[in-house]
Amino acid sequence: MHAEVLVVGAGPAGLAAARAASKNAKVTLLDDNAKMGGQIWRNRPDLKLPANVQWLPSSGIAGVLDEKTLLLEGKALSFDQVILCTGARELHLPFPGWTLPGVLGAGGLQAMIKNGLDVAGKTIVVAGSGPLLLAVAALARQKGAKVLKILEQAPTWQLLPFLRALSAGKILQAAQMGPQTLLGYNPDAYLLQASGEGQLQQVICQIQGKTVQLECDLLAVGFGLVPNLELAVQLGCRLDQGFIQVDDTCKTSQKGIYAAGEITGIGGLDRALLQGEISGLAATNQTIKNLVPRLRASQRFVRTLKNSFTLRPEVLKLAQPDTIVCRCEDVRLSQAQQHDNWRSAKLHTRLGMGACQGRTCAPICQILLGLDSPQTRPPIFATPLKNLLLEEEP
Amino acid sequence: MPEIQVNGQPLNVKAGISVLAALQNQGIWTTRTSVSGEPRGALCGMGVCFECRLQVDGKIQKACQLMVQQGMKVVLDAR
Repeated sequence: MHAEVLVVGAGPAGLAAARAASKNAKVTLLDDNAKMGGQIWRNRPDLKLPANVQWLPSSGIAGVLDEKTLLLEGKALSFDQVILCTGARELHLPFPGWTLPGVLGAGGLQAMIKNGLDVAGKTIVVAGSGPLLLAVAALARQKGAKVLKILEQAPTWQLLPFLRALSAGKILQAAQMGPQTLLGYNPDAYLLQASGEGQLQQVICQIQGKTVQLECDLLAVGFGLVPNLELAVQLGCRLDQGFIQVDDTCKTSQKGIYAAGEITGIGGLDRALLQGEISGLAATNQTIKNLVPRLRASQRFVRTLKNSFTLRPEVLKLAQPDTIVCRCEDVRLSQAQQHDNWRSAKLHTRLGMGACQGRTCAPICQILLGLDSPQTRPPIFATPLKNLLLEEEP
Repeated sequence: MPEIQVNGQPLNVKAGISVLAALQNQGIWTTRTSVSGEPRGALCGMGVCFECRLQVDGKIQKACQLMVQQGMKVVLDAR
């Protein structure tokens, strides 16, 4: 298979990129999910693609064959230009009880609801940091759940620059969610632990200095987002402060490779759409001139978002020596702490060697222990061996 | 309403939902047992954490990224 312009990831950035590029080229758009929309537009029924975009759903990328060829499961896919829109995943930070069934990512709960989880009548606590907490709580309430508390670890003073940076449109959107959106919203509040017999039953948290116990069915926790860099790094793209380095045209350090959306900096929907459009236009030699000033403004929003939700030291110290840090291999904090680098921890404890290939534990170990993991090892996703063999082309 | 089988038991589920959501809606929040014997359930809901992996139609697959289909055979806690 060959793609003139390949777009990897069908979230907002990828869809915007595909639309813009399709005005001047044939586009192939793929995603490892069955439907387009990414996390934010998951299951939205009204998403349409222009006629000359070829859509490849449920297409996981196993690896990189060379600088212009990717390995899908059992098939090679070459391209002239590629736009990487691989998005971000949630940052999970371990605390006692975080491995109990019923403890979910905040974005995880959002994704599950959008995929058909019925939360009507469920009692939910939402905790962590960032604007996602409010969005998740609003969605859960809209579907009939009782959201007891929304615990935002940042203190109020730290949140003010974020509120000031919100556009009029965003404020209007928040107002439409209704005053109940803010019901139970507590800044300066964080989790201490979750517990239950085989399943989550209660959480203990700290709310403005007071320790509080809450009974709940579900706990949704999100401490922010980390970019999905694996493919970009394996394609040789240079990083800048933990994100894919791009110029004003969304071009990476590698020829013919563009990147847009959260992998270039956590900045939300509007920025992802803008960067998607810019990358799609730039990759197909169309003009982007009038979009560049808006892009610069969006970079300022990225910095504000980062500063407003900086994690407090307490939430980085919640894991106890026996708290699991690597969920695939059940490696505990005390075991990981005995190593001063990722490789040594991996070889001695199997940290990062399970099914998720370090996607959950590598950011945890980086933040808690300073262990830097290389993101360059194939395969990109754990996959059956047969998928690494190329099928004969007829 | 598609019918799926969970550990051999028939189950009618809503169409257009994920296998994970279908199980959770039945109160099944534990999808696997960890290497040290702990119960585990889905965490990320988006194909990253692999905690929801199950045997579906003979293959280990991520229940969160798989939509229910008529006649699917789901085995919980399969190796």
